[in-house]
Amino acid sequence: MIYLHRTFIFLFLLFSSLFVEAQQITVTGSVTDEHGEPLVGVTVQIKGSTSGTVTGADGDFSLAAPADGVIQFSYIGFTSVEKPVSREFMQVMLKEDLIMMDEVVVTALGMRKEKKALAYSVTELKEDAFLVKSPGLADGLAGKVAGINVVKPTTGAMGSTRIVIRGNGSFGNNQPLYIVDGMPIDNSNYGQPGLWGGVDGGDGISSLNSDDIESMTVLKGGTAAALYGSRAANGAIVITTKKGKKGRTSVELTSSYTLDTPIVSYSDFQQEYGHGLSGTVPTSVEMAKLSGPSSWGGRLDGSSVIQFDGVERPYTNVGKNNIRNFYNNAWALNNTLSISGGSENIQYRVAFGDQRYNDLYPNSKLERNNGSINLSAQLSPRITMQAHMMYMRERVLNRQNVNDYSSNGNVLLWTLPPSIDVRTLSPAVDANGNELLLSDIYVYFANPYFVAYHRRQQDAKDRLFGTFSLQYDINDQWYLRGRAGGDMIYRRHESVTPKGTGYDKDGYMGAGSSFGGEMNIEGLLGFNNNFNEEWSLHAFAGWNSMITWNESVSASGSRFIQPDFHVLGNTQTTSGGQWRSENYINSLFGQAELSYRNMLYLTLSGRNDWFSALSLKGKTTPNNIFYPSTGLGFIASEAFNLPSFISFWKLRGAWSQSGGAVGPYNLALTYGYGESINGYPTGHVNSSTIPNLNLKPLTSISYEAGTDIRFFDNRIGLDATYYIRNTRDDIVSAQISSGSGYNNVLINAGKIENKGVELLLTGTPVRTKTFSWDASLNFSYNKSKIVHITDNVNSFIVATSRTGAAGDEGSPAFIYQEVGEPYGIIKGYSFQRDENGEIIFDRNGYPRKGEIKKLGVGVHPYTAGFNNSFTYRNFHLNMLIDGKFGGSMFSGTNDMAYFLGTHKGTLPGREEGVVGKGVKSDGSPNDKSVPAMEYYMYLANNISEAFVYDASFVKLREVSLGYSFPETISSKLGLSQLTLSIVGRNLATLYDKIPMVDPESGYSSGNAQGLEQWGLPATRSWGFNLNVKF
Amino acid sequence: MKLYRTLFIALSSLFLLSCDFEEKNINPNNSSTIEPGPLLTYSQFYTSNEGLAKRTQIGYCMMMVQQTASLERDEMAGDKYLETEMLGVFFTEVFASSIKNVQELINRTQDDESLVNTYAVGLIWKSYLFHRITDLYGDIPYSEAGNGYVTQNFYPGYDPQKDIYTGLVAEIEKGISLLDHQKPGIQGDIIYQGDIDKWKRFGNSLLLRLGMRMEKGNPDLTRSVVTKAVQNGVMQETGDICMVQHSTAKPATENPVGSVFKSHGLVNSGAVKISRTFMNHLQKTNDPRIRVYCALPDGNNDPADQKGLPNGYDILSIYEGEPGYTSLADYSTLNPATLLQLDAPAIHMTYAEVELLKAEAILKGWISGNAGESYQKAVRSSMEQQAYYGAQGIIEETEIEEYLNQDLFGKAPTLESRLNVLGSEFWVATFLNGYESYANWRRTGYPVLFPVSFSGSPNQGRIPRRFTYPTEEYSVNPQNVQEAVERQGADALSTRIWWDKE
Repeated sequence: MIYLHRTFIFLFLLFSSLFVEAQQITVTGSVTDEHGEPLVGVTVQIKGSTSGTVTGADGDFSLAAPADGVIQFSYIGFTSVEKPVSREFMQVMLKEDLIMMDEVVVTALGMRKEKKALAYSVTELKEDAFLVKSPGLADGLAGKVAGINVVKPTTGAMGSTRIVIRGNGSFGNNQPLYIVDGMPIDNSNYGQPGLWGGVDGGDGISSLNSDDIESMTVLKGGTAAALYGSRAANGAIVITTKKGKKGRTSVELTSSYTLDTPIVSYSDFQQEYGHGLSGTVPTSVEMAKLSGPSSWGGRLDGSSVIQFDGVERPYTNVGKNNIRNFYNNAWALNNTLSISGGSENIQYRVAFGDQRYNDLYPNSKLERNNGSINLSAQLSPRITMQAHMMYMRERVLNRQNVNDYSSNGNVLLWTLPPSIDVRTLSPAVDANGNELLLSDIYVYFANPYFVAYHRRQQDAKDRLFGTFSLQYDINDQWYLRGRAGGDMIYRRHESVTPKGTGYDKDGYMGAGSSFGGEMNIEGLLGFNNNFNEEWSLHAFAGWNSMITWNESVSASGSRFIQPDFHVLGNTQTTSGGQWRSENYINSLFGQAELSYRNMLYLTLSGRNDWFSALSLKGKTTPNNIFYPSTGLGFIASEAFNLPSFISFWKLRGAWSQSGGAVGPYNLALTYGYGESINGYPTGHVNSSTIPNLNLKPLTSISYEAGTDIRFFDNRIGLDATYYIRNTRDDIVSAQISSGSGYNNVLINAGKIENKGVELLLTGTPVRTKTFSWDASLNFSYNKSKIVHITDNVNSFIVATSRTGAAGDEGSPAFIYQEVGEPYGIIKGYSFQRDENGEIIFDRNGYPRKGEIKKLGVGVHPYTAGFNNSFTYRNFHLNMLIDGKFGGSMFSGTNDMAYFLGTHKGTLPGREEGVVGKGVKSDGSPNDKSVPAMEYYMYLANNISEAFVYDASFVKLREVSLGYSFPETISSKLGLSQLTLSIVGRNLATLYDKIPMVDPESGYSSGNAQGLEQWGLPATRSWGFNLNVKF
Repeated sequence: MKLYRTLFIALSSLFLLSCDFEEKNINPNNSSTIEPGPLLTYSQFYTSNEGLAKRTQIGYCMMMVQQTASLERDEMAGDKYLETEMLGVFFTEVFASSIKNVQELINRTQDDESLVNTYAVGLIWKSYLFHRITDLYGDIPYSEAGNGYVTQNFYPGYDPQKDIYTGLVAEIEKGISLLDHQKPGIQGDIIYQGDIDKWKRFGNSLLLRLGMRMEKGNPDLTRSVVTKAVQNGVMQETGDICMVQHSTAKPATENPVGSVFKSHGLVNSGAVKISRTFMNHLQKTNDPRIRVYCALPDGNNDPADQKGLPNGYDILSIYEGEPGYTSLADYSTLNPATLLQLDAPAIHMTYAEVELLKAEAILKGWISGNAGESYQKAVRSSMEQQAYYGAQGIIEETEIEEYLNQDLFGKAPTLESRLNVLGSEFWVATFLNGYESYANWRRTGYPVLFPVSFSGSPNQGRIPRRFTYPTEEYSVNPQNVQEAVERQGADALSTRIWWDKE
């Protein structure tokens, strides 16, 4: 590295020594970026003098310079270049700086700031970080940013994504606030699967088209978020959309196609024993039916055996493609067409995107269209305007149910005996039009074809999002800025369980629509002054008013009169309901940033939020809270003479406070009316949660200290941050004894502590004219601890596994919050063990069920990402490997595969019985044999511990290989740019320890992390991207 | 920071004058108050619900006392005495639905003289709900239960069953004493439509039931409660029956048993069958109720064709237990034309039960009267009562006479054999009120049942004596539940509760 560095200096000196004359000449030239786009406003300066100019609209410049001089070209966001003065027309190309010293990032309230001035850690991702497309925009963050944990539940491509920045700080919401062009957007989650199943309704952020995004900044610290107040208590993700640029009109087309194949770990399923119970082969249809989906039958011997449908078929393993035969290969097609350009005063970008996704599950798909207009205008020398409007249309057919049985077509795919071909369940209905079931006693084991083609679950979203900003520069120092943003979502949904469904012979349907969203209005007065060479101040104060609202109506009907005609009017009974809610937050905020000699930066900010949700007559606690924050950044490399190999060194520290509230209407008990019976209306207490009149906002206090140090002309860099984030007065919906009549109570009591380290190591091991290699390694560790819940409660249940719930098969496991433990631990029944750790067996040969205890942590404390990108001439190769470590998972899929005998682990002892390894109660080795089915069923029903796995993994997350066609070729085609890339996602799991399911499986993007059951299989995808500019 | 803060607040108070947040946080969707009537209706109506009807009542209670049987081992776990998490569900559901709302009713009526009758009925119904829970579990939260919002007690203590029974008796007595014809009527009463006399008779009948229950736990109290209840007037005729009439107006108002059978296709799937033990008894005694209760899956309810399924088998072992077994379709299930009708009533207490309890009390010398007469009244009423299940349920007078002419009670030679006749009749009469069949069997030991021995069950050979507490209580309310376990004995199916002594 040092060698290379010296070589460069040597070459440079050699080059400059060629020019010895000192006469003034006129130099002309033009500056472009790597793609040949002209750069406007580049500073062109003669080295060692104050004379210079800036490039004009076409990137052109002209200036007088000494013939032996050196010209410096510098531009924010690009690596500065020095060139000797030339008589020729100078064609200068500036490269975008990936490790930028004077990098500008978009921070809170849309303020652009130099990164070096910040006292806290931020990470910005540019558009090329989203080259490998994922169905949800936020999934694309996985592995790219230190300190954030991205979870994509296995609920299908249209599902939601969970993003947690610097650890879970609350028992309630832990997701960040999303900001687009300075204004918050609605990231409402339209339903999450829970204990009793359901579909993942997706989230707000996934509606955005990644091709419209210029950059995404992750504001990790509380200081970063302090200006957004309560809603950014968990950090903020600030998205900036692409804008038009002055100059030539540019038309750009981006197309991508990817093909996803399901990953099924066939080798974890047993393939030796067939359908049946207790080692017996079914001998009658009734026996076949009563055996349900059990693989406890005889050894597969090819004999002719009767199956559930009365047909005799060979008793053999139908093969490894049994599950694959049902699922499709998913595919995604994305196209975005944009036109951008503009004059000196007005710039625009208009884009249209079309996204289609066909999921693995047959007849399950998504269509999304985005249209957006961006307008920037200089209305007068003192008035600038920015406007952005986006319309999004989304249609989804058949989001899939997961976790529970009913309506979840995946269940049978995970549990089907190896002797039954899934295709025998097709067509999905019997002669009477009823769902063809494997067993009419096990009505909840849905026929997957019936789910695909007879049930229906569809939703439609139309969304309009817009921001408008107007700035008036009163004079050189003072300015006024007003902004407004609105996000309105109109959503309809409908679900149909048709007549003839196994568990509901008469059928039912539900339909509803909702109109909701949020609006913000903000005004601020700002002040900028460079008092002198040394001191400067930037300050502002403002006000913001927010309202979120939702109005919805829904109706349901049951018992279809005419089959196969699914409207509410065709049901025997219908009922309906409506919901309205409004939530307001008013705020005042201000910030002052003082800098001294570009070396010391001090920031003070404060915000006060008033919550309507915490206001009610008779309430004695405050409905508002003040959040102060402060930060100090010190550029040591400016202050001291450091050894030359240190090119930059910054130290930073920050302290801040933010907070949060609850949703509206949680302070008082309310009542509702239900069905009338014989003319008498029923009425009831409306909630199973005890409300709390005196709720106050929770607070989250964070401290962080960090350093950013670069060596060898920025070839190696290390950015390290240590943080502490303490939440207090967290609003806990604590589970209470149902003996109280209620299941939960809202209390301001929680204390949660998160401490962590984030490291980002960047390096450019090789950089030559034709080849460069950039590597970056990010790593983070977050240690969370529940300090306090309530005075009476030291633990509570966040979620319960579907296994063992309500008396069903399988062993119950729970996600708990428990004082002294990390956030979200997994608990369940353990093995009873003696002092040597040996499992104790009872006299009948079954392992003894121990107490309910901690079996793991549901959230990984360690996350890491390793990115390598190589550029060789016009080729660009990027590879991202990421991993998470230290978390565990209770797998209901594995538990039920033990219960039903489909798991490979149930093979030992099939013929001779199982003698469990361990001791009897007297300490002697266990020697009692138990029939395999009884043994494994007992294990599956009683010992949760047996199904808790280390969920650590390493994945080859993204690979892309791109080729930019040389201008000689693209121009012949009439194009200004042509880039073709091959992309891949989730190509390989390099390390994992969980059988059957993907290590990232889960059913929820809520706080129930660490539980998994019967989701869709994970996928591996391959595809290509095409980018064309005219 | 202080200056900063003061400045902010000064500025903001000006600006906030315009917005009235207190008004904006009033929930527009739900009422902030409620009339007591609908609360009573709710509490009475949800005393039986679909999930509990299927899994707790049929799946456990009726299976354990061998009224029903199943080859299935998951949802119908009571057939084989298997311990599942379902055992705790009755506890969690009833507290959080019926009890919470009847307690809310009591809170809203207790200080209002004009609502005294509604309040009185609330007290009686609350006691009905609590006795069902305590009879299943033993010690439960009682004195601190169901009122978490008002008392802010989120972790109620468990009262000893002994004290619960004393409390229940006192509350019912209080309720009866408050009932007053001169005061405004009962609101929202779907059971007796506001008939104060019927409520008094129901209250006394409930006292009779509870009094008898304490026979072994507190014999002195039993005598005084039973005597007083009968003196004050218990149910007198079939029409005094305590039941909720369901209707087909909406799915939610349908009979929960019929509804779950229909939607889950349980008649055809064969998950619930009439037990061989129960069927044998009906056939042996030529009981005309057989055609009301039982039918083959094809609807045939001819008594001669009915066949009961033995308890304690699964689909494999049934071949051993029933040589020649062919198909579940050959075995009787609940009769869809009567019991499973969607507008069938849910029956909570009957005049027949009252007469049977009286007969027993007479035999035991606690009250005076003619035990044989009470038995006959009971049988007659139980048979007449089948008419509530529609035309198919009507039992002709001649059939009743024929049955009574066998004189099963009169011919029984000893006290014990007479108690057996009473217990068996109780068992038949309370069919489809499994909670009560199970409680009475535990109390009296009649009818004599032979426990099954299913090899996969850890409880083989022992009919459970109680339900186990919900797992959640151990994590949420550990101290209180542990205290109850220490007092009562292991939280196991075999532990006997206070009134259930050997």
